[in-house]
Amino acid sequence: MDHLLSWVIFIPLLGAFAALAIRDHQTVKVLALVVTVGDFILSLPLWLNFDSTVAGFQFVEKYAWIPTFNINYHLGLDGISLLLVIMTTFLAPFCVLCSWHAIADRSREFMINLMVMQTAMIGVFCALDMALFYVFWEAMLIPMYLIVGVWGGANRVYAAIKFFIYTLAGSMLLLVAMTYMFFKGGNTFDIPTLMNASFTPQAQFWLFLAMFVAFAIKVPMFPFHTWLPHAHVQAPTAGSVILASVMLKMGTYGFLRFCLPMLTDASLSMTPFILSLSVVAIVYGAYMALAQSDIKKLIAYSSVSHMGFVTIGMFVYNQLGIEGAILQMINHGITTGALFLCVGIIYDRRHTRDLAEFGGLARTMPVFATCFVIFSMSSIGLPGTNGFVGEFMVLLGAFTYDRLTGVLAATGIVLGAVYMLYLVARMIWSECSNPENQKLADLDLREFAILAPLVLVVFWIGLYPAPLLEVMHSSVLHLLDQTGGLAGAPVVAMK
Amino acid sequence: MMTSYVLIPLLPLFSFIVVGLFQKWMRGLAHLVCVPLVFASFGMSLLAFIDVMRGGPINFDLYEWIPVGDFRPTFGIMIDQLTASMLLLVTLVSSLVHLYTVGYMHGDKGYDRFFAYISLFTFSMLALVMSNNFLQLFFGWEMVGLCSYLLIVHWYERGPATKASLKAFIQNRVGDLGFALGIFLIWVTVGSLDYGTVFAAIGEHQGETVSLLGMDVSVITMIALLLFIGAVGKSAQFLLHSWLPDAMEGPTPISALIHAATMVTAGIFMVSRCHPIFNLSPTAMTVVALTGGFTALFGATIALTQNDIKKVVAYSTMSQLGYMVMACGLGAYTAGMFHLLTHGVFKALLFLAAGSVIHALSAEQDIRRMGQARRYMPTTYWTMLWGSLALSGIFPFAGFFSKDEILWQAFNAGLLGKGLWLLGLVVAFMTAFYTFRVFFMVFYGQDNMDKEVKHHAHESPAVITIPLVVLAVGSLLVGWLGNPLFGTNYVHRFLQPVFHSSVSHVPEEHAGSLPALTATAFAGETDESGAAHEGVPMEGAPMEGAPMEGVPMEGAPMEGAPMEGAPAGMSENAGVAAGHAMAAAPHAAGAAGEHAGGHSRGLEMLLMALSLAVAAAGIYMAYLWYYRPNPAPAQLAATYQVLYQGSLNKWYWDELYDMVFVRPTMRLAHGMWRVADEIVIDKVLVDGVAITTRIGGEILKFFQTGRVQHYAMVMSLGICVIFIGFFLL
Repeated sequence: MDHLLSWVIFIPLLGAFAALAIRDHQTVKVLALVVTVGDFILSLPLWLNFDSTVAGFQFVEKYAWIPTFNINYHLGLDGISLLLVIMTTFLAPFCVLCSWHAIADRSREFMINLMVMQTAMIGVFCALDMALFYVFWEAMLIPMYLIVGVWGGANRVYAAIKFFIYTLAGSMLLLVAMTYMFFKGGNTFDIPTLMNASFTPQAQFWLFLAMFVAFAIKVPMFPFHTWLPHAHVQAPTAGSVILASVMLKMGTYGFLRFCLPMLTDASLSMTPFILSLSVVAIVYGAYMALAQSDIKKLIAYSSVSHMGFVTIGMFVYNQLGIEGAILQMINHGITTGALFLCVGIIYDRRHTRDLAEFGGLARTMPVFATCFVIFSMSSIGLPGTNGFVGEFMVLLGAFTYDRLTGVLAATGIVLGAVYMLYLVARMIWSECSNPENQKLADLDLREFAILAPLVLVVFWIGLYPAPLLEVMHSSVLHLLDQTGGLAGAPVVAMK
Repeated sequence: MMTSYVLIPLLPLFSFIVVGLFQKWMRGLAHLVCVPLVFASFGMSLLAFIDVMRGGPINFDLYEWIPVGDFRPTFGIMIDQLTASMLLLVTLVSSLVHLYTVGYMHGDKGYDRFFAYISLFTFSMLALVMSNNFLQLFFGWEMVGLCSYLLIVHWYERGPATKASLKAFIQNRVGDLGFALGIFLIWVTVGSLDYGTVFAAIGEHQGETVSLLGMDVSVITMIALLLFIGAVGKSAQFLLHSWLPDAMEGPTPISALIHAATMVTAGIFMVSRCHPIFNLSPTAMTVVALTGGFTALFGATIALTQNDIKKVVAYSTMSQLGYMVMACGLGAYTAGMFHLLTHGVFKALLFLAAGSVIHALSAEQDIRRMGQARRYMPTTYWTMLWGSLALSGIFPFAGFFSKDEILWQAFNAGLLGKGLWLLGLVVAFMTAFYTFRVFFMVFYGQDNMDKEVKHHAHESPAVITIPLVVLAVGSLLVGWLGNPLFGTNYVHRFLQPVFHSSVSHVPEEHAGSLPALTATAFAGETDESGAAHEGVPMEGAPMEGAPMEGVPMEGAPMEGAPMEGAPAGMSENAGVAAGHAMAAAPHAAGAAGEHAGGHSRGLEMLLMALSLAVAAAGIYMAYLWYYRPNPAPAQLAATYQVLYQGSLNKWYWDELYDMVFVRPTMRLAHGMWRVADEIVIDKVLVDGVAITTRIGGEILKFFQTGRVQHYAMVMSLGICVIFIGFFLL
C-alpha cells in the first residue's frame, strides 16, 4: 500500500458516499461498522511499520494541490500524531455501536455524519500542510454541528450554535496566523518547512496569541471552556465520545505541532501564563465537577480538569512532561470516552442523566458497575490503570521543571478522587431504592463488546505502556531540540 | 527459583482474575479457588523466608514499567529480611482470614466478589512489601487502598458503608498526595527511584535545601516528612485517622486483615524501609515520634468509651499503630517491626474473635446488648481472652514483649523518649482497661442479650474457630521470638542486616569518635552481658564489644552529637554508642545496639515489671467495674460529662472536618459554579460577546434605511471629513 495514510483518512469518506446510495438504515449501520473496523485494522500497519528511531515524518505523501499558493496535499505521521490517529480509528467502531439503537431517527444520516467526521479528524492529525490542516480542521465542525444540533437533547440548537460559533471564532484567528506565517515564512504552508522558519519575537507573540485562542477554545482551557458542558449535555452519546476523546485533542495537538516548534520564543515566554491557566483548570474543573448533578456535565467538567494536566505537560519542556502529555491525551480519550459510553448505556435505559435518579446500580447491573468503577479508577489515576502512567509522568515532569507548578497540579490527585468517587457512590453504590432502577438489565452483548476492549486497554497502558512510549521518544526529543535543547533541564527552578 | 518468588504475589492475583471474571458462575464456590492458592502463597513465602535466612536478600527486576529517558522504574521483587517477615505475616493472616471468610460470609450475596477482592488485596499488599523501588511501592500503596475501599463498601446498600468508603479513599488520597510529592522530590534529588540507589546516594544530599513557604528546609527532612504524610494516611495517624474507625462498616474479616494486621501497617513498613532517609533527619524523626505518641494516646482515650465492639478494637488498632510509629520515630525500627508482627497476629485474632461474637449474636455489635456470652461460645471466649491478654501486654503473651521493647527503647531515648515512655505507660494502662472492659461486658457482666438473639446464640463453626485457635497460639508464641530476657532474640538477629547494613556508607569520621568515649567508660560490663543477652555474632561486629546501652542517659557526654554516627560505630567499635546517640536525637536503630547489658538489664526488668503492673491495674479496674454490673462507670461519666462526651464522640473530629473541609468545599463548588462559571464566564463574557455583536447590528441597521437621500448625505459628510483631514494633516 503506497498511500496507506490516504486510505486510512479517506476510507470513511468513501463509506459515507456509499451510504448515500443506500436507502436501508440497517444496511448503513452495518456498512458504517464495517468501514470503521476496517479503517482501524488498516491503521494498525501504521503503528507496526512505524520506525521509532526516526524523529521526522513517516508515511509521507506529497502532491501539488493548489500550485498558485504553493499549497500541497502533504501527509505524514510522527511519534506525536501516530497514536492519536490510532486512538481515533480505535474509538470509531464504538461510536457506531453505541448509536445502534440509541439513534432511531435518521440513523442513516447519522452514520454518514460519523464517517465524514472520521475522515476530517484523522486528516487533522496527518496534514503536513497548514492549508490542508485548516480544511480538515474546519471540516470537522460541520458534522459535529449536525450531530449535536439534529440528534441532540432538548436544548440542542443553543448548544450546537454556541459550539459552532465559539470554535469558529477561534479558527478565524488561526487562519489569520496561518496567512501571516505564509507570507513571512517564505510563501509556504508546509509545516516541516515552517518549523525551520524563524519569526521575530514580536511576530511570534501575536501569532502565539492568535493560535492560543484557537487551540485554547478547543482544549478547552479555562476560561474558554463553557461551551463544553453545553455541547456534551446536549450531544448524543457518540457525539460526546468524539467530542471528548478526539476533538479536545485537536487543541493540544495544535500546541505541540505549531506553537512549540514554530513559535519557540513566544512559547517560552508565555509558559508561566499557560501553566497558571492549566493549574487553574485542574482545580477549577474539579470544583465544577463536584457541583454537578447531571452525570454528563460532571464528566465534561472533569475533562477540563484532565486536559489541564495535558497542557501542563506540554509546557514543561522535558521528555517526561511531553510524553506524559501525549500519553495523557490518549488516556483521556480512552477513559473519558468510555465514561461517556457508560453514561449512554444507562441513558438508553432510563432516559435521564440526573444523579439523584440513580443509586445501587451495583445490584442490578453488576457487570456495568464493574466497568464503570474501572473507568472511574482510571480517571482518578489509580496505579495499574492508564490514567496513572500519564498523570504521574506529567506531574513528575512538571515538578522537575518547577516545584510549585508540580505541587499545585498534584492537588488534582485528591480533587479528582473526590468528584469521581462522589459520582460512583451516588450512582453505583448506595441503596437501589428507585423502583425504576430495580428492573434494569445488565449489559447486553453489544454493550459488552463496547466496554470490554476499553477495559483491556485501560490495564494494558497502565501496566505496560512501553510500546506507546517507544514510538514517541525520537519525535519528542526532536521537538525538545527544536525548542532549544531544553530536554530535561529545569528552566525556572523555583528555588 | 525466581519464578517461585514471583508466584507469591501472582497466585492471589490469579485467584482474583479467575473469580472476578467468572463470578457469575461461581455460585458461592470461590473459596475452592482462592483458599488453596493463598495457602500455596503462604507456603512459598515460608520457603522464601528460609532462602533469605540462609542466603541473604533477593533482588531482581521483572520488566521496565515506564521507560522514558532516564526515568526507568521497574516492576521488581526484593525480598530482604524486612520483606520476608512481612511476607509471612501477610500471607499467614490472609490465609487464615480466607478460611474464616468461608464460614463468616457464608450465604452472603457478594460471597464470591468478597473472595475476589481479598485475593486482590493480598496481591496488592505483597506487591507493596516485595517492591524494590518507590514507584512499585506506590502502586501497591494505592492498590491496597483501592481494595480497602471496595471491601468497606461491600455492603454498599447500607448508607454508612458508602460514606465510610468515600472517607477512607479520600483521606488516604490526601496522604498519597504527600507520598507522591515525596517520590517526586526523591526523583529530582537523587535521579532514581530504586531503593538501593536512593538509599546509597541520599547521604550525599545532606545540606541541600528546598524552599517551603519561604523557608529553607533540608531536602532530606522534606522528603522524609512528605513520605511520612503517606504513612499518616495509610496507618491512620492523628489528623488522617478518622477513616479507620468508619472502615469498620466493612465485613469483619477485612477489618482483621486490612484494617488491623496488614494494610494499616504499611506506613510503619514504609518508614522502616526508608530508614536510611529518616535517620538523616532528626527533625523528621521527632515529628514521627511525636505523631506516633500522640496517636497512641488519642486512640486510647476514644477507645475507653466506645460501645461498638469493632470500634473499640479499631481505636485500639490506631493506638497500637501509634506505638509502632513512635518506635520508628525513636529509631527503634526493629522494635516497631516486632510490634507490627505481634500486633498483626493478636489484633487479627481479636477482630476475628469479635467477628465470631457478632456472627453468633445475629450481627449485634453493641456491647451493651451482650453479656455472659462465654456460656455459648467457649472457643471464642478462650481465644478472645488470649488476644486480650496479648493486647494488654500481659506476660507471656506476644504484646508484652513487643510493647515493652518499644517502651524500653523510648525510655532510653533521651528526654523526648522519656516523655514518650511515660505516655506509653499511660496508654498501656488504658489499653488494658478498655480491652478488658469489652471482654468482661461481652463474656461476663449482665446478660443483656435480646431473647431472640440469645435463642440463636451458638459457637461458630470450625472454619471460624480454627483460625482463632491458630492465631491464639500464635499470640502466645510469637513474642518469644523477640524475647529480650533469655535465649536468643531472633527478631533482632534476623532483622539486624536490614537496619544495620544500610547505614554502613556513613563516613568514618562520624563513626569513630562517638563510641570511643563510652566504650572505655563501660568496658567492664560489656563482656558477659553482651554475649549473654544478644548472643548473636554479627558480620563486622567484633564480639568483645558487644552491644550495650541503657546507661543513664542524662550524663551522656554526646548530647547533640550527629546521630548518623551511631550505627556504623556499633559495628566498628563496640556498639556502645547507640543509647547515647538516642539522647542526642532519635537514634538510628542499629539492631546491634538495642539491648542493654549488665546493670541496665536490672533496669529493664524493673521497667518491665512496672508496665506489667500498670497493665494488670488496668485489667483489675475493668474487672471491678464490668465483671459484675456496677454503677461506678456511669456515675463517673455523669461527673465528668465533658470528658466522657468528648471521648464518646471521638473528640468531635468528624464534626470538625465536616465543618472545615467537607461543607465549605461543597458550598464553594456550588457557589463557584453558579456565579463564576454560569454567570460571569458563560453569560457575561461569552454570551456577552454575542450580545454585543447583536446590539451592534441592531444599531447599525438604523443606517440601512433604504433612502437615497440618507446615503447621499452620509457620503457627502464622509467626503468633507476626508477633505478636512487631508488639509489639516
